[in-house]
Amino acid sequence: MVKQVVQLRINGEDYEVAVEPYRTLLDCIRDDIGLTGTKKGCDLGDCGACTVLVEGKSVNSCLMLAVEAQGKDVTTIEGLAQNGNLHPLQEAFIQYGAVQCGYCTPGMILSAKALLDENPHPTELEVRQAIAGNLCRCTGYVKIVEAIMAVAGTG
Amino acid sequence: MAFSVVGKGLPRIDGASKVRGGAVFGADVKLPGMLIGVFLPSPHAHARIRHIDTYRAEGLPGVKGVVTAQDAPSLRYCTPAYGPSLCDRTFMARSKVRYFGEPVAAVAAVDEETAREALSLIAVEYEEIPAAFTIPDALLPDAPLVHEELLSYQGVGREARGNIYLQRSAARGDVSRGFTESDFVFEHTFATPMVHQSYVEPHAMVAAVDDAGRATVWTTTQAPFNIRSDLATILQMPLSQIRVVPLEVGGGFGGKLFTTLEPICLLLARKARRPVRMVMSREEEFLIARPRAAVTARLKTGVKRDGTLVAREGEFYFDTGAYQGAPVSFGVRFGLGPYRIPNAKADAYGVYTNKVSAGYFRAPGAPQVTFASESQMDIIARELGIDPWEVRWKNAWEEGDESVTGERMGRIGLKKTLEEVRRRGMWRADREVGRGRGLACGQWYTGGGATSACVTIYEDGTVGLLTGAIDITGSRTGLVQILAEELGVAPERIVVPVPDTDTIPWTGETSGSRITYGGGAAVLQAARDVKGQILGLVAEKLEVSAEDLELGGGRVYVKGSREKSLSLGEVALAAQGTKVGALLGWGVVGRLSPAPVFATQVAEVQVDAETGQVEVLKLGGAQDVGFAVNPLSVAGQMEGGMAQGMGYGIMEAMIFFRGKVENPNFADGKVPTAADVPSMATAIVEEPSDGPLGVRGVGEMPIVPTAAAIANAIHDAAGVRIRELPVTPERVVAAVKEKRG
Ligand code: FES
Ligand code: FES
Repeated sequence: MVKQVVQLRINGEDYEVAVEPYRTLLDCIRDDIGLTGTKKGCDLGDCGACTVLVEGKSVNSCLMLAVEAQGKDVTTIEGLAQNGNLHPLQEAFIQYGAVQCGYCTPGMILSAKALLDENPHPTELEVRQAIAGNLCRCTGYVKIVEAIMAVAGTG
Repeated sequence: MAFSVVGKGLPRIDGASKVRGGAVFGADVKLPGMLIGVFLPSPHAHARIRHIDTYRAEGLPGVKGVVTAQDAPSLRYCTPAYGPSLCDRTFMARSKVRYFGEPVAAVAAVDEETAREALSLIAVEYEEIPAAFTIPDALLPDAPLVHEELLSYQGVGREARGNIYLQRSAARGDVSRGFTESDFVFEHTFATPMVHQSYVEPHAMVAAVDDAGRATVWTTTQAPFNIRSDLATILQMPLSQIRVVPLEVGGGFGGKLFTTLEPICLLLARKARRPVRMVMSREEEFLIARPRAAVTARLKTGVKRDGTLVAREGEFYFDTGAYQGAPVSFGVRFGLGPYRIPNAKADAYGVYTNKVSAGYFRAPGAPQVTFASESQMDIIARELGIDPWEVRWKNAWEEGDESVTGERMGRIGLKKTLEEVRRRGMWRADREVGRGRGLACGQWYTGGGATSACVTIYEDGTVGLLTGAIDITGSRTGLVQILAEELGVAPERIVVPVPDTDTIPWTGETSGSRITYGGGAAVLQAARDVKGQILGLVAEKLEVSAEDLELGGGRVYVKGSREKSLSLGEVALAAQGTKVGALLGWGVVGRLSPAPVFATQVAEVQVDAETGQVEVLKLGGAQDVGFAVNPLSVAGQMEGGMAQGMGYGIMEAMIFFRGKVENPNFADGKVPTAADVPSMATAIVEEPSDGPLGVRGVGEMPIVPTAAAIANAIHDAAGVRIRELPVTPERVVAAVKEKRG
């Protein structure tokens, strides 16, 4: 199939890649661009492991085509730390024990970031609803919610 | 004893790489020239394979290799490390398929689209044959046989007959007399479904073969050494020609203990002469990975009027699917509950059916049989009008009690966990309308598999720890804490590279919650070994006796005179110029005797009798962990386990129709989300074991009693007893209707 060239701005850097029109943004980020921090858990929009921010909004990148992201600003987990300093959510996830196997972690942190960017002081219920699309099989979510609430409290 | 590092809730040492997205999982490995491999799943649950034609697939441009069972020696294998060594398994279907989804052929191609297109070009001629889909089907006298040649398999037991491949039994006292002497006898049947571990990371691996024919397999696994030996057996390769590199495990829970697609992936790489990556899709996970076995349990229990257990008899049928792997012996070991029962008898059977092959899932076997046993304890308590807590308390094991399998209890913390749920107010009498509270106890054990560990000191004073133990629960952090404590260094000064099967001696798989226990012992041994070398060397240098030295803050001091000291880095450097050479400590610990583990949990639920909707409002658990090396991670394991137990209780089940999984995804095969899981309270009980620092295994225990606690709470709230998991709204509504008559 004929490939299409797309320009993407990922974590502030410009990329130009040729992709099949059916290529998902997830596969493009992981395999074409080589940023493997974004994870694939289902490829069906059910687990949230592939969550990235597109223009600041959280998106399941397995449900978005790479060509749909043409010209858009995309943030992946690799783009969260600034000048080598972890984002407060990243810090909090470590400190509160919100990371176990770590497979859900990148997507979880980005969903949390999208929430806090829009609603800096959410209730626990709002946090739980905001991450309800991100499955975590390890933690039971307790420490994840605690970590997010801690950042919200200080933000 | 005062500790400075162990016993503290240190954040995980792998946390930073994981929050940055830098941790390397199986699907992240990419090699030059790498191909993508996919397999062709069987479209039938039971059929003979007449013919496979791969000619057209091979001719498709972009296809670099096609394999079938014919590409490897014809043999049946088993993994002796996992219980009965009945060799009934082939790595791919050969002359017949025994379950829907069983791999029949595989393709490696330049990309996934091409590979999948090639699959559609493979022509397989099947002849469908009658199948046995359920335990009752499989036990009929004229049931179709899943393995016609079972009796000729290597390792088959004398008890094998029909579709029953394994039986395990134990007894003490005289159950029939016990039932006669009882005031009341209760008899019930319970059922639990097959359930997938639903780790978020699917199985993923890359295989490559170098010019000399040496193979390397990168894979997400809890058991790299078992994969290596399975590969050697299946492909008839010398063991030394295979290197298995374990990667981060994105959730295992027992689901990543077994060899899955690795032999196929390696065969493809060999044939294509290029590296091949295989990653299971979520649907394939449900088709061919190794879920928790379904169990049908019949329990008969005799009690005195005051609730004292007199006799208990259990029959447990494990549905293993198409190949052995269900944790049958654990049915016998844990099926009757952690109670003093003078007359006891347990029989467990492994039964073949034409379904995906079952395996291990967190505390294999225990959640199934505990649902039965603890539901019935609740029934007994309520029928006798005794508080459910009291019935457990009255019968709970104490030191000196013996299980049906003859295991004698040492110091155990079961009663302390019972006390704890009451003391913390998790178990209370007050109750609101429509709400209910349920209690359940559970038991598990700490496995004792072998571990190797190696500790070395770098010239800059950093401590390197190598261990073959795969970390799936944060055990690396715990081991670092143990090492830091012993050597008097800050945990940040310890690095823990993950070795592969070439670089560390044999280490057993990560199962049975054993790493901090057996692995901890190996690390302690290695630490003491290197410590001896350090002290010896410094004693010589400073001309003092080794007994006068102590370690702390990364230095070695002369006791009482803090000026006289050397840093660990200086010691390592000094060693290089002496006959010591390098500071290197080894610890190899063989099989340790298992340490029993207990927990008590309480669930609070709200039930809508009209819709059958169950909301779990609270979960609370008390668990004996022996000694909490890292309380933060212990609590994390308990919370995660209870959340999975809740899924098992009210949501999760693989639904089969004629052997085919009908809900092979997270949309239909639901697992709990942050919106479903309630707030959880955890209480740590510490009754030391005989193991290092007194630890007991932590990771598996918390899933064991949860489903029973929830079902008991539902009865408390709505007056209906659901004896089959999961407790779905439909089941509740049906039970409510039946009760109303
Ligand atoms: S991989 Fe995108 S939602 Fe699961
Ligand atoms: S930490 Fe393992 S899935 Fe969330």
